[in-house]
Amino acid sequence: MFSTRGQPSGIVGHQTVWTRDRIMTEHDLIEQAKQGSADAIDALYRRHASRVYSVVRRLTGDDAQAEDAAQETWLRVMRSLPTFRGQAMFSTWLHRIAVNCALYGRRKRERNRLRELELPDSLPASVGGSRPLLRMRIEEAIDALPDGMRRVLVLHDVEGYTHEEIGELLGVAAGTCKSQLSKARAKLRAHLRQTVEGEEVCSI
Amino acid sequence: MQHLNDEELARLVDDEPTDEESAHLELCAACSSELDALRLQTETLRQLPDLEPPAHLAARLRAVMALEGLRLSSRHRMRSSLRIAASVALFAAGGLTGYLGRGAVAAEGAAAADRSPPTTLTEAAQRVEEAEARYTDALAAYARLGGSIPAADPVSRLAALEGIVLMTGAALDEAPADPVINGYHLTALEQRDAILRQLERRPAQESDDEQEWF
Repeated sequence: MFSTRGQPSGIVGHQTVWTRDRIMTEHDLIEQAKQGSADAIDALYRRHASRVYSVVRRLTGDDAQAEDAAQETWLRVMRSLPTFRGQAMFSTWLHRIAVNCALYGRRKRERNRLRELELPDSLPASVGGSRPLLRMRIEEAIDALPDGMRRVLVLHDVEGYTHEEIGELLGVAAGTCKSQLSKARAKLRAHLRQTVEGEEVCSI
Repeated sequence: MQHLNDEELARLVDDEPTDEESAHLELCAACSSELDALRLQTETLRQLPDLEPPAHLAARLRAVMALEGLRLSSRHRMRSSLRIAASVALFAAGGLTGYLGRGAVAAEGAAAADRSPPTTLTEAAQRVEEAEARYTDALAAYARLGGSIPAADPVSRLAALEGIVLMTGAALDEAPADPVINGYHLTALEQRDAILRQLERRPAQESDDEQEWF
């Protein structure tokens, strides 16, 4: 199986791959992956799987759609790899494909009811540190945003895209994107305020 | 000046406030505190850690890549014994394969599995090569089976997928770590469950035929 963090997993022979993964440059891996090398493909997957999954999961706001988009991303990348000339960083190229797959993937499920569900009222009994809980609540609140707002918020505030880049991706004016971002931030804040009211993380 | 609304405050995370807004924020603790909270929220968003993909995604991806020929046969990575086990298991489930129209290939595979153990290293190596070839053929057969499942009739699809689930399940009993068979099994399970849900959602008047069929 792939191991997403490039760490030894206890599988016989995995250590060798892991060591090679660290020694080989990304350029080497790409060249070998172009030839269909299973080891090179595994190594590229280990290096980038969590980054790809993060962006598609947050953009889609849905586990099933995220899996479809992640799969489509990797398939598109592997199909297009022979034409990859390295003008852009592989990670940048991969990220762009992931964003496109998440936004315009072939399999568009009917937006499920989860999108409209209220966030859970109760919090875990033990808060522990506020940051992990805050992150968890933020992930839930991102999922609960309407599609358009979620996309703009994730692309700008999480992924660091500019309004101009987002506008180009979504086919809207940069000003529209900016206005959507303010709405998304405010809505996210309102969700968090409602969800964590009375708890430690309420201080945000 | 009235309090700043949520969207105005959200805009001020990036933009400079106007003189009027600035004056209000200096005097209004509520708005100032809310702006601080929005800034912290944005900072937290920028620092969100990456999410781990589910483990089954890797297996599914491997299977699809292998089918498309994007990923070469794992001959260099997978232990031969495991591949033989997978191959034997695949063809031991030949009855189901036959049900789905691949009887000839299945019978050939089952016969190969019944042969006596190799007596020399050369013979063993040859068996491995043969097993790998059958394994590849079996994967291609799965691909054809998947492609030949009728698209329009959910009941027929369900029956065909049920066969593939049983067949890959039997193969996994012998080769539980095989990523390709895992991928097929998970995909078939997923599609079968989706059709079951689809059938459950059908209005009663549409399902008369299916009830008789069952």
